[in-house]
Amino acid sequence: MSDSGASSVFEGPNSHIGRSLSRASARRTVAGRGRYTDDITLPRTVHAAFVRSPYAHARILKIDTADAEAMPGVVLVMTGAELAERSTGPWIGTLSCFEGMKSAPQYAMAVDRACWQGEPVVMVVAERRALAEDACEQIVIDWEVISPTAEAETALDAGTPVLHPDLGDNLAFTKTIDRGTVDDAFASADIVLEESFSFGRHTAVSLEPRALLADYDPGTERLTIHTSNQVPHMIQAVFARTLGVPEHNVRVIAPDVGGSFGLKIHTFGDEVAATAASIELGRPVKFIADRLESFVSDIHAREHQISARIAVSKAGDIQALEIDDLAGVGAYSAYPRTSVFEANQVLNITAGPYKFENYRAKTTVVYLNKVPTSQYRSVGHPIGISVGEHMVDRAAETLGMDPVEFRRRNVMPDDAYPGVAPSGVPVNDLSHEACLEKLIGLMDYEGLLREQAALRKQGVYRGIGIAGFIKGTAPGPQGYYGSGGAPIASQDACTVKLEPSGGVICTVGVTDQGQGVDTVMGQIAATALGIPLDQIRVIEGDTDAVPYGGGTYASRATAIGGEAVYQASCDLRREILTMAGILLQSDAETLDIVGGNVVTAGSGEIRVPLSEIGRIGHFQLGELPNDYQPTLSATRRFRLTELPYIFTNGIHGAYVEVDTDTGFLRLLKHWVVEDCGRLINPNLADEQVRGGCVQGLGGALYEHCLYDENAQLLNGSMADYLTPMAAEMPDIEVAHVETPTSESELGAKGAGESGTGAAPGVVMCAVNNALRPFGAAVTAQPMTPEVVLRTLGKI
Amino acid sequence: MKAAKFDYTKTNDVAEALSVLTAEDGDSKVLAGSQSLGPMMNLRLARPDRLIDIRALDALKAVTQAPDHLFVGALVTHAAIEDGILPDVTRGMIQHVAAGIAYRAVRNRGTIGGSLVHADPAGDWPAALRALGAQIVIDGPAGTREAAIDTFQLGAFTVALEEDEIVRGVRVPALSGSARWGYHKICRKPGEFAESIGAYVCDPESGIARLVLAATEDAPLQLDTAAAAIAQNDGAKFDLDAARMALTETGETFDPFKLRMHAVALHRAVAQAYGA
Ligand SMILES: Cc1cc2nc3c(=O)[nH]c(=O)nc-3n(C[C@H](O)[C@H](O)[C@H](O)COP(=O)(O)OP(=O)(O)OC[C@H]3O[C@@H](n4cnc5c(N)ncnc54)[C@H](O)[C@@H]3O)c2cc1C
Repeated sequence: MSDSGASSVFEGPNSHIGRSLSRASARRTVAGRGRYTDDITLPRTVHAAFVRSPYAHARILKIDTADAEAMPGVVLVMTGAELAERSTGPWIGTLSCFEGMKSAPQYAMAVDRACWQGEPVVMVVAERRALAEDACEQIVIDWEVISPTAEAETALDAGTPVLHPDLGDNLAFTKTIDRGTVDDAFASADIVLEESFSFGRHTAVSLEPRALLADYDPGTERLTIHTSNQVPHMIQAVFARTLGVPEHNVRVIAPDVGGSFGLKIHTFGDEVAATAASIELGRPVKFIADRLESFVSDIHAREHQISARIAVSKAGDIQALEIDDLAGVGAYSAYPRTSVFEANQVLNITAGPYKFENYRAKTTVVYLNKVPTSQYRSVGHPIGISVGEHMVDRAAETLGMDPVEFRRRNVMPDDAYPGVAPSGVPVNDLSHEACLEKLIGLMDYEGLLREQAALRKQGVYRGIGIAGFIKGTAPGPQGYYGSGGAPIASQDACTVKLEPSGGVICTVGVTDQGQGVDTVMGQIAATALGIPLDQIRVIEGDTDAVPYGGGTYASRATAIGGEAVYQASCDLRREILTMAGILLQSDAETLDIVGGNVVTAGSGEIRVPLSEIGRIGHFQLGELPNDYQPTLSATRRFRLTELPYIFTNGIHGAYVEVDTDTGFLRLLKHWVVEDCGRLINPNLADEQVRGGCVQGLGGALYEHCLYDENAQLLNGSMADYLTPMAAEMPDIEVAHVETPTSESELGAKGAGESGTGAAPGVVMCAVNNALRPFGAAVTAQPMTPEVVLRTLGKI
Repeated sequence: MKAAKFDYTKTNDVAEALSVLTAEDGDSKVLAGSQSLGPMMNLRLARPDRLIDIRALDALKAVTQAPDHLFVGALVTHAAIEDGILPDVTRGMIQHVAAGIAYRAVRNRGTIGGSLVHADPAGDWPAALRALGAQIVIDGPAGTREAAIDTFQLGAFTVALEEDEIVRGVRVPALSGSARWGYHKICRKPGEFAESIGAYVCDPESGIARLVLAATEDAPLQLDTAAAAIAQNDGAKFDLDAARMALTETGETFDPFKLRMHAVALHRAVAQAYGA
């Protein structure tokens, strides 16, 4: 391998790139050998439970903890005010990159006022969780109820209670993107179409809830936090700063993580409180969120209302698009990533696949007395994609044009890059045309049209949907968390080390939550180094063991972390060859590593195994010249430089049936063509896409945090909150177009979220395609039977 | 959430189970499959002082066939019925119903007796057995008594069962060769609470025709007039409008969405019975 021949490495004899290996952890976790946070038991562990506010908005007049303190097994009762004394101060969930954004100071537990139903108020720590809950029941709080703000539409009206009077009003953030000459375009357009949309708030519902085991050792003054998390270094920074422990004395370990989906990249007050209790008690404290408290304390997402209008020419060209978004976030902006990213992404990506220049997008983000919202898988994309694709379909329909034909005409051509999306975000290396054509073939579009027509005659209403997208993945430092002031790394790093045995330890800052990140990192290292995969051990999720990194979110692990692994592995390989050259008295350029052996390049003749390099390099250094000191390790970092994101693209197809008597939807089939650049592990990429789709379909059909006018959550349990499961999901066929990103040598882009982003939109398009004979269109998600029947005018 | 503290007793003797039930100190509850009581306790909505595990009571596991009925012990699971282990006296109806309850994991543990006593308005057995006209067999301190299912369920989550009684089983009437049935459940996902359940049974030989609606806010509703008319017309005129009319005639009020769900469930249950 030489530096110039990167692509040949990926196809060479050592390549594990493009191989569908199964996840390293699959067998273990299926066999029940997973080791999640709750599986870790430390001596003297005690358990935290929380009294949470039953009201959406209420002043705390008095808290009586005496009876609780006397309950069996109770070791600590701590109120929000007491916790505040033990912390360095409140958080403020703003980022300087969001100009004009404001948020109120937030404490880990409510101090004198609770601002959402579910906000933690008092913590009880006891020998067992059940005992802690018994004691929670004995805590008496005198509340003075304040009227809550429950609805985004009226949040800014005069007379609506202001959540945080110091902020002046309930406005969190507003932003407008205005490109081209939107007003002129609408004024002179052939056709203008308008629509309004609403998207229901939902939440992540990870199979493993949030979980934390904090272990403060007063002897060493070190704090170890085991936690189900995606971002160990961020947790290290935030918890250290909040609790006044030096950052280098805090170790964060993320063991197996049972789903996270962006939920586990935020700061949660109950977790900070449990950690404070460990410091206070000098013993381990465990907090495992149960399902009920998860519903009222995990971040929520996606509560948006949007009005949109599109201008198209008679010939079928998009001339302008305008959207006006209203987002209802929670009582505080989430710390440290904020609650406005979602709205910002809606503005960035709506109608992203299309080539038109007149685009105006405005968002208004308001505070409500509800659970704080923040980043959840495919942040903002389900909303923007649903809106953009619906408007495109309406335009096509109005023109009497086939939706596929309309898209063919309007997508950015595959040779148009680098370019910008309508919002102005830079895009590069995209493949809308190739993906569209591949999808049409994959789904047998013509065949579906014929079947649809035939069935319609029998009173069966089936719909075909198509939805293209752009997806922001692998963010760089530009205008993002780190530059906005948050302690979050936008680079990621890898250290690879050759061990005496010839095995390789590969430590990475990105983390695995079951996607197979460790497998993929191993494949990259094995390929670059030229060694068998089973000679590599990938270590992630431990701040004491891995180089500083951002963790896994925003589809960044492979695109950012993977490139760091690739670069570090190439460095280590060079060093091994240099050392081998000295030992063999050969020119390093004539050597290669294949199958774990140093070989003669070209002929493949084995010269020396890596175990010999390892042995000499660690134990027999006398065999090397005095002036040569190999480190047999390499550390590299990678970040984007110019681009804010590596945008990816793809397209979904859906086939659905609508029962027009009941409003029930049946998902018959789903297709995805995805371009995530170089495919490291096609099977794992497919699984990410499929899992992502299911999550998106949940939001499209089922998931909805229903609040009443007092901002009380009405369906916060698994009995009432519906999540998608295998039985009601369609087959999802996945195919790929591979356009490597020019940002890295590896060429990989993010793949983890795009399924979630486009699935709701494509199903909405398909449902509306089915409903076309009725002249009706659904524009509210989730598309419940009630919503469909109302749209049909049947109820 | 963890369940509040409780004591636990297991017995293989009906008399002993009954005596524990009547114990003076605190309230006791019978535990069968735990698929309803377990979640309620873990939500601390139910907080019995004592659980009496009846899963070892062999008398409650019996399945016996008589000429005119099948006795199904209270502890027989949904899964056992789904798997067709029992003799089929309902022309496949109870097997069909069992297969549509929740997921297999729930069916493996949940029992027919537990379902009847739990009396969820959206429960499948209360609806299906009502349409079949089953009899409930009940053990108490004074011996064994029988109750018609029509009078057993008093409302949502309430049944005519004394605190010191347990359900031994249920007698399911045998349908004749010319009987018809239909069972239509509308729920958004398997294992979710039903939006509506329509159940229809008609046996010309015994002259029985029953139309039952469940998943209201109350006990299942029996629409006898409609059932008689349907049987008369062999289901012919019972379209969606007729179903809606029948619902209106019950005097109950439903919101427009529920009304539609119920009308569709009844209509489709009847259509199924007549092979439409
Ligand atoms: C996820 C999920 C989905 C479900 N979906 C459905 C569904 O689609 N349709 C449906 O019908 N049901 C559904 N159920 C409920 C399920 O059918 C239960 O099994 C049933 O309601 C109760 O039966 P059990 O044996 O589990 O009773 P338990 O939970 O053990 O007991 C329930 C109640 O009955 C009492 N009890 C039990 N047995 C007796 C007895 N022999 N004598 C006197 N009292 C007794 C108990 O004291 C308790 O009050 C679902 C349950 C779950 C967890």
